[in-house]
Amino acid sequence: MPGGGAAGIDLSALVVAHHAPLYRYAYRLCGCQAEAEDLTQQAFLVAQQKLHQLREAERAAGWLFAVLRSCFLKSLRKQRPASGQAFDIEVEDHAVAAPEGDDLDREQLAAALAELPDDYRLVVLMFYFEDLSYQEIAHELEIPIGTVMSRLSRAKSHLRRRLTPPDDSPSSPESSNVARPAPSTEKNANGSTKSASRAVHQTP
Amino acid sequence: MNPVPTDLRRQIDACRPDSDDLALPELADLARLAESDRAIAGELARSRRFDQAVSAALLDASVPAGLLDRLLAATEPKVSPATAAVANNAASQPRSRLARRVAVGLISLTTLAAAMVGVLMSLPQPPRTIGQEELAGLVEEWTTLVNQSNRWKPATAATKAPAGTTVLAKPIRWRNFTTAAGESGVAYDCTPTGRQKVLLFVIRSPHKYGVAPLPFTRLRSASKGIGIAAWQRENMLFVLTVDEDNQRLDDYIRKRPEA
Repeated sequence: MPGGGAAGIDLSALVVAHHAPLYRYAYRLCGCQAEAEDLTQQAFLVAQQKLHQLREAERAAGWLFAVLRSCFLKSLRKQRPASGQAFDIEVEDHAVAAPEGDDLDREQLAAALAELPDDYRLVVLMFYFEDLSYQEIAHELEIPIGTVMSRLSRAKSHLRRRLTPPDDSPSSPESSNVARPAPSTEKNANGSTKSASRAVHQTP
Repeated sequence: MNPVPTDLRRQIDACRPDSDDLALPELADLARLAESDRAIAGELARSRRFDQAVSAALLDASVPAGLLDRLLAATEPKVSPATAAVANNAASQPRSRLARRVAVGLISLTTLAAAMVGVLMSLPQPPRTIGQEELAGLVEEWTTLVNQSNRWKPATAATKAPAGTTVLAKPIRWRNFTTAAGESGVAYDCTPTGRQKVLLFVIRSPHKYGVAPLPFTRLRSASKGIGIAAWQRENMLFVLTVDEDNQRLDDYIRKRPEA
C-alpha cells in the first residue's frame, strides 16, 4: 500500500519527520547537494514501495537510512568503471589532539570525506550517521569484520590527519605513550596482504 | 614514545562513543588495557571526543529550501488504498473468470472514481484564509487530538523538527495526525525534562493562515496560561504551544529566526 505501512505508518509523516537527517546522510555520502537531493527522493520512493516492511515506527529512522544506503550502493554500481581507480589514503597514524568542542572545520571535513574512496566513506558514515557498530556494519555490507575495522581505522586516521594538527609535544601526557604505530596491513579480497605504512593504493 | 599497535588502534577506532562496544569480543584487548594503561585509556577518551565532534559536524549541513515540499509532492500516493486493496485481492484470489471480471470491473470503477476525485482535487481552489482566532481554536483541537491516544514515537538522535533553527527545543517524541480538515501534520513533543508541556505542530496545508512567515504572531489561547506562536512558510504551518506556568514562549524561539 503506497500510503501506509504495516504499523499504520504514513509515508508523508515519515517524510516530514526524517527528510532532514536523510538528506544530510545523502549529502555526506555524495558530497553534492543536487545528487543528495536526488538520492533522498529516490530513497523515499523506494520506501513508499516497501513501506509494508516497516513493522515498528520506532525503527523508521534506521530503516530509512538503510534504504538510502542501498540506493547509494546501487547508484555506485551503475557509475563504477570496470577498471579500478587508484586512491591514496594516508594511514600512518599520529598522536591526535582532540578538537575542542565541536569546532571542526566543516569545509575541511567535507573535503576529507570526499577524498575517501566510496567504500571507506560508506563505512565511516554508517559508523557516525547510523551509529552502527563494526559488527552491524559488517553484517549490513556482508563483508568481514576485520575489513570493516581496517577501513574504519584508515578512514578515521585520514579524517584526524586532515582535521586536527599533529600533537608532537613529547611532554603531553596523552601522547607520551601514543605515537606513530608500526605499518598497518589489510588483507584484501583475494587474501594477499598489502603494506599500509604511508599510502595505500586502494582499488575498489 | 611507544606507538599504539595497529591492532589496538583499530580497536580504538571501532569503539563508538556512548556505547558498550568494549564488551564486544574483538575489543577485549582494548577493554583490558583501557583499565590498566592510562595512556591507552587517554587515547580512547580522545578518540571518543573526536568522534563526537565529527558526528556533530556531519549533522551540521543545511537542508535546501523547499526540499520537504518537493519530497512530499514526489511521494504523494498515486493509487488509492481502495484500488490497491482490490488489486491485491484480485492478485491473490483469481479463482474464477467471473471473479476476475468483477475484480477488473471494480478496479476500473475505483480507478475511474479516483481519477475523477484527483481531477476535482487538482482544480484550482481558492485558498481559504483562516484568521488567528479560528487558528487558536484549531490549535486547541489539535492539542486534544494528539494527546487522545498514545501514538507517540520516541525521537532518535537524528530527529529534528523541520522548523530550522527557529525553535530552541529538541523533540523527545513525535506522532503524525490528520486535522479535521484533512490536513496531514506531525506533532513534536519538545517538553524539556522537568518542565511543562512544549508542543510543535507542523502541518501541511493548502490554506492561508493569517500569520507571519516568521514566529512573530502570538495567538490568544482559550486556555489560560498557554502561549502560542504560529508562522507559515508556503504551505507549511508551524505552531508552537508552550505551557507558560513556569516558562515563557519566547524562551523557545530564537530571537533572530532563520528566514
